[in-house]
This record gives sequence, structure tokens and C-alpha cells, in this order.
Amino acid sequence: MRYLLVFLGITAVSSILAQDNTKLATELQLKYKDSPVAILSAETNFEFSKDPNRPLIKVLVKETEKYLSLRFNSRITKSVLYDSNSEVEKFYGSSSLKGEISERTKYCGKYTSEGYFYDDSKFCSQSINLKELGEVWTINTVKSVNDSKYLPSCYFQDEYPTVSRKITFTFPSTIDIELKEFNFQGNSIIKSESTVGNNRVVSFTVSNLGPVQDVGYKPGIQHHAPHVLILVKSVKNGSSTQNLLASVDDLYAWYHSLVLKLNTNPEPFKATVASLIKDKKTDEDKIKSIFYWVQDNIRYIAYEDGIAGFKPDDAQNVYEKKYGDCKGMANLTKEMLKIAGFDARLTWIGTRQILYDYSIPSLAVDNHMICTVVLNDKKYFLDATEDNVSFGDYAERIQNRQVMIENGDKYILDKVPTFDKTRNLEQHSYTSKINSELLEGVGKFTLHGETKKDFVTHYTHTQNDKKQEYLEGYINDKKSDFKISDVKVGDMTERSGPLDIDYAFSIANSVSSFNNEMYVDMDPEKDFKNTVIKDDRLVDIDFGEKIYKKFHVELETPTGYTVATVPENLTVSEPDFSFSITYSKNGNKVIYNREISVEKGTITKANFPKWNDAIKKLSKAYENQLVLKKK
Amino acid sequence: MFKRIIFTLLFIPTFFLTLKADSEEEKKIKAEIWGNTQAEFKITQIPKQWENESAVIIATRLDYSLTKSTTEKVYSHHRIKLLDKAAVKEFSELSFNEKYVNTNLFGKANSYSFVGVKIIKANGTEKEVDLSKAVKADDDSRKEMKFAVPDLEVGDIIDYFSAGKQIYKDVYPPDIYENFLFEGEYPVMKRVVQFRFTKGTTLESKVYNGAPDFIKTDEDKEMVYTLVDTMRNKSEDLLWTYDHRTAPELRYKKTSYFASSIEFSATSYVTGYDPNLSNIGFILDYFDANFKNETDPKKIVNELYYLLRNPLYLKAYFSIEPDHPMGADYDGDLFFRLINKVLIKRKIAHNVMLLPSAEVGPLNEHLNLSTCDAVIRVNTTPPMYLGRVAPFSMINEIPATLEGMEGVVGSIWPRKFPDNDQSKSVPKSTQDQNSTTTTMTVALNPEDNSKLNVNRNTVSKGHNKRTHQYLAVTNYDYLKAYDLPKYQAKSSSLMSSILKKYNEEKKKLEQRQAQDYNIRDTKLKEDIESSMEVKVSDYKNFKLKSLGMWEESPNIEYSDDFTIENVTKKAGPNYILELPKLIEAQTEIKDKQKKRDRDIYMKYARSFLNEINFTIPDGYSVDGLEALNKEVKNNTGGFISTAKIEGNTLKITSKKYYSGNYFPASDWPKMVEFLNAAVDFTKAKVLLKKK
Repeated sequence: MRYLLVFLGITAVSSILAQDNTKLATELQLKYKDSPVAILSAETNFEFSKDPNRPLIKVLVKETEKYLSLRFNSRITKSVLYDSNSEVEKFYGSSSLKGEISERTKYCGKYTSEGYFYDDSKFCSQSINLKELGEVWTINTVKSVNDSKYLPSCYFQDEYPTVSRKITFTFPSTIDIELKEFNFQGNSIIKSESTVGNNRVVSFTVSNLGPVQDVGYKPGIQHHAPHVLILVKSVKNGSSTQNLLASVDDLYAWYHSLVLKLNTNPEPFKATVASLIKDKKTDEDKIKSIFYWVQDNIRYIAYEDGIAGFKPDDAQNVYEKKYGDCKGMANLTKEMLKIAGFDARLTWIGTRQILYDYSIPSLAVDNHMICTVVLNDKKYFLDATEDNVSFGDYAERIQNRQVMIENGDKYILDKVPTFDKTRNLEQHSYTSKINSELLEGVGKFTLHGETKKDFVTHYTHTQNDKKQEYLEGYINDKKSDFKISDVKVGDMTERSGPLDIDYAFSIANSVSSFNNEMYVDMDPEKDFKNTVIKDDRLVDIDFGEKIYKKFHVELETPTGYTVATVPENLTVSEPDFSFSITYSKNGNKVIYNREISVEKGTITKANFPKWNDAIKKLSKAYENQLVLKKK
Repeated sequence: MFKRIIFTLLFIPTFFLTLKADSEEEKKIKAEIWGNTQAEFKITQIPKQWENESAVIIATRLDYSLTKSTTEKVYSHHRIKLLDKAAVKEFSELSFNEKYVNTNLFGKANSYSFVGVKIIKANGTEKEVDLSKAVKADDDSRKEMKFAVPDLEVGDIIDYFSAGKQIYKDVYPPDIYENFLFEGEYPVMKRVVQFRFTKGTTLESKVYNGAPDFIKTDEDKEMVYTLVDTMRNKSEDLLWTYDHRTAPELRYKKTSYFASSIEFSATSYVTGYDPNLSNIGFILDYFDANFKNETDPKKIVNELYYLLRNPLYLKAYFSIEPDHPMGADYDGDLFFRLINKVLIKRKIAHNVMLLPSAEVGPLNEHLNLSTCDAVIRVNTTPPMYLGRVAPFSMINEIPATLEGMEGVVGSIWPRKFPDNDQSKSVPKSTQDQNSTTTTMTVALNPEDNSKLNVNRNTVSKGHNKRTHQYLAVTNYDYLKAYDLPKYQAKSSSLMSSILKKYNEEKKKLEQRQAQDYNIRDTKLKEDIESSMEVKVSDYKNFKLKSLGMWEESPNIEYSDDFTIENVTKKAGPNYILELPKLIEAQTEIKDKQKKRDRDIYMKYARSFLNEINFTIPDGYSVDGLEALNKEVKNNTGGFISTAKIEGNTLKITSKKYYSGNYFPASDWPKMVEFLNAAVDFTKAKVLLKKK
């Protein structure tokens, strides 16, 4: 499903004198070492008006940005994105050093948003030549949006640092617009409101905002970036009021109207459904059979062109093409289940990336579609885009997320169940002994939930001739002194229950002998070693899934040796995460247990110091050696 | 003429897709290609030995014809069995670009008209794909159209073709030549390539390493060249190889009655220099201002070479802006023409040489001069060799792939000098000439014994130094190195304006010095982390002692300080130190790489020397030195390491060297022997024992 996002920049009533620009540029250059420019000032005006011909609100977005060059002889590209619902009306500018861009110098074309095969995204770009430090480029753009529904939010941050930015919304008093503020805390954003003639004018001014950080494991942008959600609710027409997206009812009504336009013809897949459920005795088995068939046989390929970004493809088309996007796959699942006699419904959902829920009437609330099947009054959520997830299990990205389930003219709001970290347990064990200076034995992985799903999905999508290499790399992390043999993988087609991977190993670099002593590195894996978070990171960490790893090693003490030193245990326990390492002795065996948990799969910024402190302790603990001494 | 020039004559693969549904012509072509298929395009089964592959190309065929010298037709047809989900994904999102349409199958044409795709299901049913659903590809993708192939599953066969025709009225048809390697991403059951020319045009070809050749048949007015290759395995990743020397290959080119040999072209090149074509005014001004009475040829050649490497003169001669001097790229042969003319003017005897790249082989194996490059030999004693100029190039450091290769040498210039040097090549550089020496002083971090403090000094020379130069030198350092009074001679108004701009650039670069140095330090820190496989903190005190770009200081040298985290392991009261790791991770030979039947080609001989001086802390002794003493030497190279205690210092030295740039495959076990010794060394540990 399409996800709309508008980055803004704008105008500039700059009081900074030209001679101060070089000084400011030098200061900013040191503060933002990777940024070629800073936005000295930016002003965006959203002008809302009623479309005279259609029951829609149009928006004119006028933007003036002043870019301060922090580089010499560099180039940046300024792009304006648009789509089938919008147009770039104007795009021009000039620099303090007599540089110029105009309609003639712009180049426009099509691009595809990440994750899609095709959509209606287009761009117009200008190449901006930064000749001198302190040079100022003033760039003006005007973009028209045909329907305000597709312009759900406005963000204050840019890919470049911002010195000052003002965003103004101007709309006639006949249009009811709510501007919802998110993540304003910690940013000095000043709001002002006024009435000018018949218009309401709302402005937000922000200063000294860093750029959007390009870091890994980021939560969805809605979770951390300051922004305003634009809810165009209704418009007055004389004495009557016309609802646009006044409430979630209106949102559902629009979604439902698109669903009503579907022309389902189940004939092409009737025979397949019949053969899939033929030998199945229980309803659950029948549902599983259909759900798994869609998972396995329909490839995720997304065409999100115009209305296709919101309207599912007809089930028979998806069936025949053997590909579809989330909506198409959800719709095929639904229609196949209906043929089999089940109560199946389309279901809108915002994944873990999304901050909002269905208390907000906006297209930005959801970005995904699944199918809900009701069986014995219980709802089961079926997401066929997730390979290898079993019936009744839910991928991390949809757990605990609110859903809007179709129900004729009405809808049902519900929530996908959540599971705790044990769903994702990765259990790994060695039963080992020392042979000369080699650590030898058998190992076993037992993968659950997300860890199992990730492994099976990667494995099945790896080229046949590279599968063995992938498997070995999964086990030994591509360490050449970690030799593997006799690998046995459990039944990957069995979706329920854990997956076992058994193997034999011989590790060359874990035992060191000096004189009468042997030093043993009990944990060759060293998960999370040195994963310290950089000091300048501004956004929380989201691993995308809850993490729970257990590593268990049993080491047989070699004949003629006794245990001289057992390293100290380690326990770190915080609400968000915990690490523990314990050593114990049992007869002639030394037992090592290590557990790592990240309860919700996230580390909040406030917890970065605690995380770093814990990681340093963990990394140090990994270097502690078991000492065995000759008797 | 040179490697760096891209041959635009070779067909530009623009692609026009006609989406007119089933025009008469399209129907005709479909019938021609799919209707009268050869037996191999009817096969549905693959041989057992390839069942575990991702995909197998059952058949691939290219038909190229150039008749009446103006009408070009290119048909290419492929049939591929998809054996896993990765292959389904690869072929399910099909784009009209060279990757799919021309899948490395020699065939490229400057205009396609039709594309056809059909799917053959496992049960034998065939379905043509409706291409009218194709959508516009992204503008930066170099593709015109794309479409998602429907109903494609593991076990299916995808059978597709492209067919094009072009008539050349006012221009000559494109040149055709290629060094074609038969092994690709997937194994091929049968490949057929057929060229058809009107008589008068012929195809010259030569095959290597067991590749099949064209068979020529005379068909009335046309000559037909047909090549058939069957059961070809896919390519394998091989360490240190030049595929064009070791893998099955076909080299071919279209020629006419008047075509000349490569030796003739090379000779024409070296004798074809016309000194009158180059303006050497700026250079003469420079010499007049600085070295008017200089007569020592060595001194003059040195000044000349480094002058033409100067960012200032790059602007004057090659229109290269001086703002990113380390990224400057030099095309064409103007550089050689300028040198030639100045040397003639200054009466310094020299020859122009044209040498073939070792990557392709001896000169007579090259299809044309695009894989050769020039070198100027100045007849001093010993001779001075001037290779193509690059930001850090120096005299006598010519591109490694030309070293030792026999080429063509032009007559001496000026003519009056005796031409005594009969050599047709430039000597190969040795492992001593291409060496890197790293000296480190290492101590336990006094505050945290799990860390090591390192002071490092690096000296690198010859071909080895290039990597270090791009790591350690910034554009500012580079421009600064050229900031010498002798280069500031304002001899003309053009030169004055260039100088002005140059000085402006220098000033600007000075202002961004802090930023550039920060980037450099980050790069160096990351380089240590990846090459030693450690975590580095507190990288500081970088000092660039020499850039390695001048005759009097030809080596790059720099020093730095850093702390390595978690390389000491605590074992009761003792510590285990992984000091050998500091010589950087060594090339490891995987089990599947141990057997080798293809010869070994490397760019150049080289050596790496390390010295680690570890300060033994008070109250500790050191154990385990035996494992650090290694010596493996043979004709291919060697690894020698030593460890000894000197006072309170543990001194570890190592030298790894590759004694040549080529060895026959039979020498592989010897190489593996010393490579393994180096790996074993890096995994050895020493014990720091509490007394």
C-alpha cells in the first residue's frame, strides 16, 4: 500500500547578511561534517482551496528555500517529487554568485519508490553547483496537489541541517482542517495562529534542526521525526457540510467503495481451492492449506500506480499472474477462503513502522493489507506476504497492531495478538571436547518464530548451488577456522514448531596451550560483541524484532587436566535488555550458558548509555578464558 | 587508441520496443523464430549433473547478418530452465536491457524491433506473455521498459527472443569485435552463434583454452561463420587470474579485404607521431623561466614529467579542473605527444613504445590497440620509462599490466641519435620494489588491560603504495605538494588566469582542510578495522611524512596512533595476546580452492614487512614464542617470521612476499604452502604470564 510522505523545506526571510554567511558556513561545516549544504531558511506555504468542479480540496504548495553552501566546487541535486495526483508548476532559483536554475535546466523523469515494482512516482531535479563556501542559493518551487487526501503529513527535517524553517497552512474558514503535531518535544517549534480575511493561517517555526540521520535499525520515521499530520476533515457548502475524511468512518467508506469496484470471478481458482481442501478434515487444515498455497505460490510484486495504490487487484488476476502486492494477495486469500466456505475479510493495517492507529482518519494510518478469517468466533489474521509464517502465528511487524476489518458498510477494529520474546528464541548449543588444540563436537540450532522464518526464507531464496555455502555461513559466521560437517536441517516445509539444524564441528582457534596449561575460549560466537552505539546517534534502535538468544556449551575436561580457573559470571539486567553469562561445573564437564534478550526489540535513546556500558562488559567477558591445568 | 578510450563505434544498445500488438511483421518474426525452432529449442529436460544449479541455459542462439554492407539483422534467442526461487525472481522481473536481452551472448544491435517471451510449464503447456503490460522503467536504470513475467514458477522454462533490423544508409555499419568468454553465470547446454556477411567482409577469429571456433561455409554470395558450443559449465570464482588468459575464450573481429594486422597497427601508431600537432608553449615557458640552461637529460625529463602531472598544467593542456586533483583522469595520447615534442626540442633521445596488456596476452593476440598502451623510453643510462601520467605516477613506475610485455618500439627521436637499446619491453618490477613496511610499537593500555595502544609507521613503495596514497593523502595535501615557486611562472594571459584559479582552489581547500582530514582519519580507522579484523578506538596523531610522488622521496610514509579494543584475552592472572593479528588478515585458501588447474596471474610481485615491538609490562614474562617462528620459501614466494625478547621488548618480525606476477598452475601447492604459513602465524598467540 502506498505510503505518502512529504519533506518540506522553505522560505526564507533571512536577516543574515552576506558577509556573515561565510562565518556561519564555517561553523556549520564543523558541526555537520557530512552535509554539503545547510538550509539557511525555508518557508513552505500550503494553500488549501475547494476544487470548483469536484468535491475535493486542492492544495498549492509554494516553497522557497535558501541553501547555504558548506563546500567548494561541489554539486548537490535538488529534487521535487510528484505523482499522478500532483504537478510541479514552477522550479527555479539563483545564487548569490550569479548561478541560475530555471525551467530550462530542470530534468524530470520517473522513478520507483523502494519496495515496489512500479508506481506513479516522478521527479523533477536541478543540479545545484556549489562554487564557494558561504554561497547562498535561493530555490523556489510550486507544486499543485489535486486532492488533499493524498497529502497526509508534513515533516520539518530534511536530508540537510536546517537553520530555520517556517511552515504555514492557509485555508478558508469553510474548510475544517486539523493539524496534529507529532514528536515536537525536544525541538523548539513555535506555533502561531491568526485569521487573515476569510482564511485561517497556522504557522510553525523551527530552528536549528539536524539532518535526518542515515543510520541502520531505525524505527519508522513517524516514530521519531517532528511532523504535522494534515487532516482535511470537511468543507462547508453554504449551510451544508460535506465530510471528506472527517472520521475513520469516512476513511473506511472510501476504502470500501474501492472494494465494491472489484469484479471478482472465482472460476479460475475454484478447481485449485477444491484440490487444496479435498483431503483436509478440519476447517483449520483447510484454511492452512489455502493460506500456505498463497504464501508459496504468489510472488510479492507491487504495481502501485495511482488508485492501484489503494484498490486491490482482482483475485483472479493475482491467481493467474501468480504475483501481486499485499492487497492483491490478501484479496486472493480472502476469495479462495470464501469459495471454501469461510468467513474471510479484507483487513487494513499499519505495520510496526507506523505510529498512528485508527483514531485518526488519514491514509497515513495504514500501509499494508492482510486477510482476516473468522473461525468459531475467533479471528485469525493471514498475511500471505510473509513467507513461512504458520497459521495462528504473526510476523513481528504486524503483532500488536490495530486492524480495520471489512464488515459490509461498517468495519471492525481489532488488534493482532502479540507474543513475547520466547516466540523468537534462537537456541544454540555445543557438546564439545578438546582434541589436541581443536575444539570438537556437535552443535545444534533450534530456531523459533522470526529467527526460523528469516532462516527458511533466506535459504529458500538462495541459489541452489550456493545453498550449502549459505547454510555453513549461517552456522559458523563464515569463520574459516570453524569447520563444519554432517549438517542436517529439519523439515523446512513444516511451518509450525521450531526448526532444528544439527551439525558436527571442529574449531581451530578456541584452544591455546602453553606449557602445562590450556586456555579455552568457550564462546566462539560472541554475539553483540563491540556493538556499541555511536555517540552522535539521535534516533532509537529498532532491531525489527524481539531478540532472545540462548547459547549453551558443554565441554568435557580432557583426561589428565583439571579446571584451574573459571571466568567470572556476568549479569546485566535492564528493563529493555539483559545479558548473562554463567559458568558451572558438572562432573568432568564445564557448562557455559549465555543469554541475550532485547525484550521489545528496541533500545530507546535514553538507554544508549546503559546499553553501551553493558556491551563493553559483555565484550570484555567474551575475552575471558577457561584455564585447564595438567594434573 | 588506448584502454581508457571507450569505443563508441561499438553498437550502442539503445532499445526500442514496438508494442503494436501482433503486427504482420511481428507475426512473421515470431513464426520464424518460434515456429521453425532448432531441436535444442524444443528440449525441456536438463542433464543430471546440473540439477543442483540455479538455472540452466538449455539453448542460446545469436544470428547476425550484415548483407549488402548496409542491412544488419540481429536475432537472439534464449531458452532457460529455472530451478530455484532465486532464478524465478531473477527472470520474473524482466527489463529490456543488455542484461536480459543480450545476456552476454555477443549479440548486441543498435536497434531492436521485437521482443517475444513465452513460458513453458512443467506439464509442457506453453503460454506467450502479453508484453503490452510492460511499463516504463526508471530513468536512471538504462532500461526502456520492464514487466513482471506472470505465472512463473520453479521448474518452468522461459523462452525469449529479441529480433532487430537496421539499415545503414549514410553511416558505416558498426565495427564488430569482442573477446568473448564462454563461461557465464549459468551452465549452457548448447550455444550457437552465426555471422553472415556479404563476400568481401570476413570474420577473423582465434580460440583459447579449449574454446570452439567458427566453421566457415561459402554460400553463394555470402560467407557464413557458425560456432557451436555444448555443455559449457558456469564460471567459477578464481583467485588471482586473468580470465582472458585462462578461461575458454573466442576472440573475433569483422575485417574487410583491407584490414591490417595488429602488429601493423601498432607500428603505425609508434611511428605516426607528428610533433607539429602539439603546442608546447606553456612547457617551454616553464623551462625558460626555471631551467633555461639545464642540459642534464635526467633533470629535464624529471621536470617535464612532474610538470605534466601538475594540476595546473592539466587544466592548461587537458582542461581538467584542479579542484579534485587526486581524481584526475587522463585520456588519449596528448600526454605522450607533448613529451615527445619537448624531448625532440631539447634533443633528448627517446623511443615511443606500444605495449600490450598482460591481461589479454602477447601483442599478436590482441584484437586491436584498445588493450595496449604507450610508454616513452628515454635513452639515458639506465633508461627512463615514462608511462601514462596519473595523479601519483612517477617515472619508471609504468602500469603493472604492461611490465615485461613485449611490444613494438618506434625509431629513435631525434633521428640523429644511435638506437642501441634493442629491448621491446619494460622490465618487470620486483617484490623489493613493490614493498610495504609497517613498524609498530605496542603496549597494554595502562588503564584497561583489555586494550592495546599502538603507534604505527608505514612506508610503502612501488605499485604497493597506491592504496596507501588514496587512504592517507587528501586533495589539499596534493595541491600543497605542488605549491612551489617554480610552478607560478605567469608566462601568458591564459596561464595567469589558470594560476589565479589554482591559487583560489588552494585557498578553498585550505578552508576545508579540517573536514578532509576528519574524513581521512575515519577512512584510515575503518581500514585498520577491516584489515586487522579488530575494533579501533581513539585514532589520532596522523602524520604524513612523505606523499611518495617525487624523485627525491619516492615512498609514501605516514605514522599514526590508535587503540585496539578486546584483543587481549584474560586467562586467570595471565593474558593471551593475539599480537600476530596486527600484520593484517592474510589470504586464506578455502578447501574448494586448494585444487587448481588454471595458471596464476597477479598484477605484480610484492612484499609486506612487519615489525611489532611489544613492551612487556613489569611483573610479566612471555611464553609461546616458538609458534611465531616460521619459514616457508620457494620459487613462488615465502613467509618468514621471527620472535625474540630484547630487554623488556618482544620483537616480532614477518615478511611475506610474492616473487613474481605469473606462475603455472602446477606451482599452486607451493603458493598455498606459504599462504598457509602466514595464516597460521596470524592465528598464533603469546601468553603474558604473571611472574
